Amino acid sequence: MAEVELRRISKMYGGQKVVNEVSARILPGEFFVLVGPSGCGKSTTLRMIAGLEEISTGELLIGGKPMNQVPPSGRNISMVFQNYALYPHLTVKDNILFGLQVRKVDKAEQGKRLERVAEMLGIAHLLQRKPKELSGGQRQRVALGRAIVSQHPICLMDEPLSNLDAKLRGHMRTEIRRLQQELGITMIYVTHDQVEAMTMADRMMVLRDGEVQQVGKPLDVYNHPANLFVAEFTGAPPMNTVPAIWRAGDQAGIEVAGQHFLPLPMFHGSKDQTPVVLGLRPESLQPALEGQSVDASCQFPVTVQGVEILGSETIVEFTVGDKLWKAKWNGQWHCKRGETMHVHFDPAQVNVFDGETGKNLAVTTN
Amino acid sequence: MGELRAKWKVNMYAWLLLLPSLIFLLLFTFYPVIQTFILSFHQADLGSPEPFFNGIDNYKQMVEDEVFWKVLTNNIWFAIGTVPTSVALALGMALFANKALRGKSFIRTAYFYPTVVPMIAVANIWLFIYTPEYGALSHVMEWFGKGDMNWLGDQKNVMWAMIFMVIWKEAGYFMIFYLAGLQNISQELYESASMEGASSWTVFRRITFPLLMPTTMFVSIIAFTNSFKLVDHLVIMTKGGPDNASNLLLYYIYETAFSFWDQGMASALTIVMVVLLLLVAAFQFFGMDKKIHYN
Repeated sequence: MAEVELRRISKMYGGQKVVNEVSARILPGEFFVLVGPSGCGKSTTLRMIAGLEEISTGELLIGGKPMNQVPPSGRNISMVFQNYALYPHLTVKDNILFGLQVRKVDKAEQGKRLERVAEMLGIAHLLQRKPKELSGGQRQRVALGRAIVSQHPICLMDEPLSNLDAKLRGHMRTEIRRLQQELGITMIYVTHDQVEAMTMADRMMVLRDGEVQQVGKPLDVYNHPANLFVAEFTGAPPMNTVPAIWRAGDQAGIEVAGQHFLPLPMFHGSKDQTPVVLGLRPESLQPALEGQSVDASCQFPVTVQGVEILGSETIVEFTVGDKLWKAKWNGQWHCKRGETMHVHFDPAQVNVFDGETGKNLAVTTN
Repeated sequence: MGELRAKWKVNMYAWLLLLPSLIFLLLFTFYPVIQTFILSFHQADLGSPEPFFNGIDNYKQMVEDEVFWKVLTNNIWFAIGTVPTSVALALGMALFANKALRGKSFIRTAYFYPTVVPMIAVANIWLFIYTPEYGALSHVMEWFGKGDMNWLGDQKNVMWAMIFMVIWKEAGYFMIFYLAGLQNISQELYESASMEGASSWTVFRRITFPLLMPTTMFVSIIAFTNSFKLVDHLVIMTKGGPDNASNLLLYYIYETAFSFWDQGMASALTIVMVVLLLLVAAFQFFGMDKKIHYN
């Protein structure tokens, strides 16, 4: 069983807590992504799981067994490092076989596994080369090969794609995902790139300053961000937000920048005049075309500040309150700067966050 | 024509850029070597007012000279005694100083300190250590009932005493190179190895040592040339004695040139030494270089 369980795991450096009581249960065969901005403690968490970093408090269980005191090699884990950690003086073949040689695996078995891995990753023709004779993508494959050849049920990856160019990164994303599914490995993957998290993960954990912000399936996290931080971290461009005020009374709703009033019947409990933050995804804001019948309260005029036409989609910028918002529209929209347009949105896609704590007022989980 | 001119111009720049170092090389390296080479075929001692050509007489005499063979053998033993040990010790000290959690800078300073002491001072310190009866070493040996050993006065012991002192003097210097080498090895490599459960010996043998090979190569060449170059201590401690038991090639050259005033013979000896050093350096560079991984 390759289940990994983190029970209130913390890491202290001196007096500073860099990881604060992180808990998670990662199921066998799951692709679990730790995501967050740099310095959020995601790599430290991963290194604690690997055993490269001591766990200050909390408990780590792998396959139900406590692992806090077990050295890295006893945890049944393989790891892919950010800079691949290939031995520069060894050939690709020796790099891949290093672990097996150390563990004195039978020679014939070594050969068999090497052949399979080389074929799986398409690196059979590179086996006699040294790492410096390889391209970035090839090195990445060798590092993957080294992790796979050990046949450990759990694999950890620490930002493995950050050294590759954008195109190759997209390619490797699918490849890593494919390998993980084919081999049925439990994968714990660290990245700062929310796109990687969204596209690869079965479940993702968003971290900030060592604290868990949200754990869940990528789409759940995207559609129902637990707080303002998660909302602004996910999505490209991220969620648009603007400070607003909650108005209770006969007609409850939100007042934005003292001008626009949006009736929202679904929130309860908030007092009149509570400061809140209104959030809307860029793709939730669509152009209101003439002749289209939309509720007037879900529509507002904007002055275009900037336009980015990306071919298949167009990003239109405008200000709401004192914030710059972006809307993402399909197709090519030739808007001009200074032009006034009407945009509308579906009230069901509105997110409202607490003005002080940043908590999503609609999400009642956790 | 234009092309030729352009080419000439580029070459001209190259030569101009090389000029400063070229001047010094010619003046202080190639010219003296050539002069020495020429002089080694001349008789130039106190008995000959003008040096005159005598063919390979100097070399013939040298081959028949017992002292030369003794000095050469001494020097080879001196090299064998100092090079591998000081290099190995330096590596060990670097590994320790790199790992040490407490007193890192104290350990480094302590190891490096013999290097900053001038060889003349070192010789004087060790002269006292080796002094029979009231020397520091004799006091220690007294506990074992062997306080009467004459370290520098005994033909059997003197070479060991010298080798030991030079290792003490040099290891700290070589350690610095190893420390730099160690810091160039990515920590990720060690972490990766620890994920595989490699023992520290395996890690050293398969990762650290091979990746330090360029340093080892460099350090052993320095150590080897030093074993021929370092003779300051002889002046203070033994003057090559007793009965040339501690004499080394360079000190013998010095004696031949400036005590016996036989410039021709000294030149011939110098040529032998230069050729010897060149051969070893060539072997190290061309023979071993291929097996070394450079980043």
